[in-house]
This record gives sequence, structure tokens and C-alpha cells, in this order.
Amino acid sequence: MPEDNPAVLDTEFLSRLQRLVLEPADNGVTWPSGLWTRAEVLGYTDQCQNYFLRATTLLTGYFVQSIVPNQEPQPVDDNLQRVRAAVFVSTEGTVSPLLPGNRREADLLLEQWRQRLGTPIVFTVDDVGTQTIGLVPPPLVGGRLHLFGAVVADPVDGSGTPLTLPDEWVPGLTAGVLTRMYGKQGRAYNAELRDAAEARWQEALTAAAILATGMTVEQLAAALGGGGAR
Amino acid sequence: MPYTQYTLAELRTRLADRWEHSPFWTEPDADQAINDALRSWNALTGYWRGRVIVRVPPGDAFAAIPSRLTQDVTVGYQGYPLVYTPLEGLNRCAPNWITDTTATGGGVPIRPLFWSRIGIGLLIVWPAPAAGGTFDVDGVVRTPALAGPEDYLNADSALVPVLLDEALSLAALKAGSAAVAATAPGHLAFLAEVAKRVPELRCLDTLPATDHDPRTGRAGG
Repeated sequence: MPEDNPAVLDTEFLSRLQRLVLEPADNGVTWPSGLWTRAEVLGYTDQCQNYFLRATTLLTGYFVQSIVPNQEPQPVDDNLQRVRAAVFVSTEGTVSPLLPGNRREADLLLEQWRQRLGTPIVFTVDDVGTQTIGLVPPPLVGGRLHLFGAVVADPVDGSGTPLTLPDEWVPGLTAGVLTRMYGKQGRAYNAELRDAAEARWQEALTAAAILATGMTVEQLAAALGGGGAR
Repeated sequence: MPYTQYTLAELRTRLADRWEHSPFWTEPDADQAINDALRSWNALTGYWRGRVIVRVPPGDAFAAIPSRLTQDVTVGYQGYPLVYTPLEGLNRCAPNWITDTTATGGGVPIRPLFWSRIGIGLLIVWPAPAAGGTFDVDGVVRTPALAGPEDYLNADSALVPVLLDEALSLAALKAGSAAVAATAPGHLAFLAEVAKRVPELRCLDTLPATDHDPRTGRAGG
């Protein structure tokens, strides 16, 4: 029985899509029906992989970065697309696990927090700019921020590279891409197949979120102080 | 229940029986559906398991899990099982976990007691072994991929019909909405079997229905 199997390649993934939508399977090179282009399908696959990782935090990256005192928000690594947990360790050795929150709560609970520098106790992600993290209150001293969160998937370009998502979730990814393919307005639109694929996509997201975090996608989004964009 | 070996050739034949050997579905279609059903089963239930040895550097609370293991289930250290705790629990009860080691003192245990993770692929232990060490991680291994007709899998004989019904349901996406609706009971039976083994996933067959949900037969507006 084969045990150490290679990951599913993006070319293999594109061929499986082609078989399901009645296109000739050629690793996603041509789409002769004209209903979709190669670029569109690659884009849908990229979008679905990244959404899957962001919504479920199935694959977690660990990043450590320096913190600049009196600066808020702080930039985060480009390979991190959603922060799930953060720990601040000051230059003085103080360790402070940060709670997820948002700025509205901070405004209500900690008056004038933007001017009151101190040891951060809360991190915010959904109400700050892209690739930044908010710290409440802003750090008085420097230190290091240990970040855990969903990584950005490797771009899918149809060149034969493995997908970032583990093999076990490829059926769910297939359903997510089919949802988008059949949801495309025009000749490709098929509401029934779109919904059938959407049902399987939601099952995969829910299962992955529960198995990775113990929470559903909605609970995880709420726990992280906002909600991941769809 | 007895475990039996099933070759890909046998599974192809049994799946083809379900679609009455229609030439609409090809051998690659069958292989794709069978392997996807196995992957879904393994993802949801952790059916195929194995052990990896993970080395943690001195004073480091983190360990990367090899990709062969897709989900970790239990962790042991020198024969002692570690207790799982979610990261939020570790933050609450041991806020200095990121810097604590077995040599920290002051109430910090002298051997690793708890483990945690966020997602898959990253293991956290508390306290970190000051001199480093190895951990036995038992978890879900990658699903066997059946490619050649003689490739086989060992499975519970009562499980195979459930897996084949799920494969049929996956293959039905190629044939259109009527086929998807007709095979929906097989997919629901698959989810029911998953729920028996993993109660946390009982919610999967009760997710909000879409407008044309094949499971409810609704035509939608």
C-alpha cells in the first residue's frame, strides 16, 4: 500500500476540474468550451485555497518580529494572512499573551488607549490596514511579537507544483472552485450545480475549522474579533 | 468487523456497478472519485494513523510536524502522555509558556506536561524541555493514493459500500444536478458514518441548505 504519497500537483488538480466540467483533461492548459479561461480557473483555485486557510487556520505559520515602541499598528509578514494568536515579549522579559479584540471594544473599555502607552494586552486585525496588526495599548517599550496564524498559500500557476492545502482537503477545494465556476454569470452559470458544490464546500470548511480549532468558521471569525472576508 | 484488502481494480468495478457501467464515466473519473472519497474519509475521521518522532531543540516550545502526518492526535514524551489544551487555555494558565522551560523553576513543571497546536503542522509543548528532546506524535497520516490497479487498501468491509456511495456522489457532479440529487442519500449516509466516529462533526448534515440543495430536493426560488 503506498504510504508516502506526493502531494496533489496543481496540474493534476486542474485536470480533475476539467473532467468534472466535461472539458478534455490536459492539466488545465486549454478550455475549448470557452466557458472559462485558464487564468480564471487558476484565479478561482488561488482564491479558494487562501480563503480555506484563512477561514479555518488549518495551516499555521509562526512568525517572530521586532516591535517598535510607540507605533500602532505594526506591520506583519507578507506570508501571514490572518493572525490567530499573538504573544508579546518585551525587551525586559515581560511575556504578555494577547487577547483578540477590536478597536471599538478598546475605545469602550480603555479610555484614550491610543495615548496610554503600556504593555499590549489585545491585538486587533480586522479594523486595521492590510498586513498590519493593531496593539492595544501601543507598546511603551520594544520587544518581539510572536504571531501564529493562517499562512498565504503558494500561488497556483499550473506549472506542476504541489498545492498548499493537504491532499485530504482537495475534494473540498474542488467543490469551492466548482462553486465559482458554475456561479460565473453567462453561459457557464448553473445554479443547481453551483449550489451542490457550495454545499460540499461549506461542509469542508466547517469540518476543517472544527478539526483545526474546535470551532466552526463563524465561531472562529467571531473569536478573532471580526470576520474574515468571504 | 473484518478488515479486507481491496485493490483499485476491484473498487473500480464496484463503483462502475453503481453507475451501471455507463461509458459516460471513464476510468480516470472512477479513480478520482475513489481517491477523493478516501481522502474525505481520512480528513474527517482520521482513519489512517501512524507515528512520527519529532525533535524539539533545547528550550524551544515549538516543533514542526512532518507533512506525512496531517493531523496530530496524541503526544508523548519519554513514555508519558501529554495532555492536550487549546492555546487559549495555555495563554490563561501559563501565560509565560513561550519562554518557560523545564529548568525555569518557580512552579513550572520539570517535564513537559501539556501540548497544544494551532491548526496542523505546528506543535507546542509546555514547558519546553531545557535540554531538548523527542516527542512521539501519533496522528493521521496521508491518505493512501491508489494509482495502479493492484494498489490496495485495507479497510473494514462494512465501510467500503459507504465509501463507494460517497465516490458515486462525487462522480455525479460530472453528470449534472439530477444525478447529484439522486446520489445525495449516499452522501448523507457517508456523513452519518462520519458523525458516528467523530461526534463533533454531527453538524455537517444539518448545515443551512442552499437554494437548490440536492440533499433536500428544494428547487429554490
